[in-house]
Amino acid sequence: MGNLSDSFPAASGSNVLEVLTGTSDGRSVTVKSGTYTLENVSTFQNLSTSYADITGSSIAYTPPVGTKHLSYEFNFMFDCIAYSGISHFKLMIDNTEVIPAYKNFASNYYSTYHHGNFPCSVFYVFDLTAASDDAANGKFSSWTSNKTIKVQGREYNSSYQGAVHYMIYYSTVGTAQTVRPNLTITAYS
Amino acid sequence: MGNLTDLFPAATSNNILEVLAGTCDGRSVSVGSGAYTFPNVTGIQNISTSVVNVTGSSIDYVPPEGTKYVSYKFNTKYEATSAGGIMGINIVYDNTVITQAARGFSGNYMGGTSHDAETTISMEFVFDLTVPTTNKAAGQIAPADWTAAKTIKCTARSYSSTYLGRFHGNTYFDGASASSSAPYVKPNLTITAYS
Repeated sequence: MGNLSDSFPAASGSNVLEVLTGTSDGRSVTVKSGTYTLENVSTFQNLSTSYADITGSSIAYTPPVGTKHLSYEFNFMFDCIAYSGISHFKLMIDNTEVIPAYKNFASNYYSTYHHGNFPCSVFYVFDLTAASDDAANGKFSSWTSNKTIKVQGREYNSSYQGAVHYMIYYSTVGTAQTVRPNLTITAYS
Repeated sequence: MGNLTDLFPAATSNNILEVLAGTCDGRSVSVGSGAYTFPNVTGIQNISTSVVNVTGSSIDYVPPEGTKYVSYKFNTKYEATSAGGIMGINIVYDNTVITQAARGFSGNYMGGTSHDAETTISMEFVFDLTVPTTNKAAGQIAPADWTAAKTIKCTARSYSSTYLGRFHGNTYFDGASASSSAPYVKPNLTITAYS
């Protein structure tokens, strides 16, 4: 007879501890670290010249024990409402901006045509192996309770306007539709 | 006493052998196949008409035993810096261009002056390791030919000297033109090995 562990081997898996993923339609998703309810995005969001939370992007998350790296990926549609629609997006964690994740989106400029409409993402991998916390660079030594991760956005000025979760042309018909964003959090050991 | 399976549960797993994921800030990440150091991207990369390596995109990777598919995903920012900013990007494996992974990016053309276009781009390809013989250009790699580290990276060039682009930049920042101190974007690199 061999060892007991030959018949009942310890579980062996990848370094993925959990994936929390969903479309922002108000659904609840249960993973190892808990149950999370995603935001319900029911309409598009016009940006203003002041930073505002991007709907669908916010999640209060606690990673499972043993997490060393944590990726945050928020995918959404961006639309140019006026001119080239220059718009700014920053990633926040507990109200601190993660500076290397800053992104600016725009189409090329034309004074009257503003057809730019394309998918965009804000993607960052937090490092939980740091010796000390440096939220502005997405580095943490410890993360054992909820931290709120979200994206904030604004447009360049009142002439260069943008919107999110918006699809202006659908099939061959110029009918605007709201497109729900998708949020994916992956915890790695 | 409970059931034996309470103490020795059957292995539960999926077909993901490992995921090597990181933002390109010079960090080191250890996974089953080894320890890897990500490139440290420290600024914007302007692209001329010569083919160059895209900063942050290169990784020397060896998949773990039993890998059937390797996914490579490189995510960063693209900008047009003159005219339409037409850019061609390739994924290169062990110095061979993956033909089907080529991508072109550009903004709309509006003369030579208005080139605001900037967005996220993602270069992705899934290598097939289930084949008996290697065809690098097709991304088909026989497992016996990938037992040591191979370099996967992106290369790029601009269309011409009047249609130029760049990576990792933000031209505008908080309602103004970005100054030299404006934050550039550190790209993200994700390698996934599947059984």
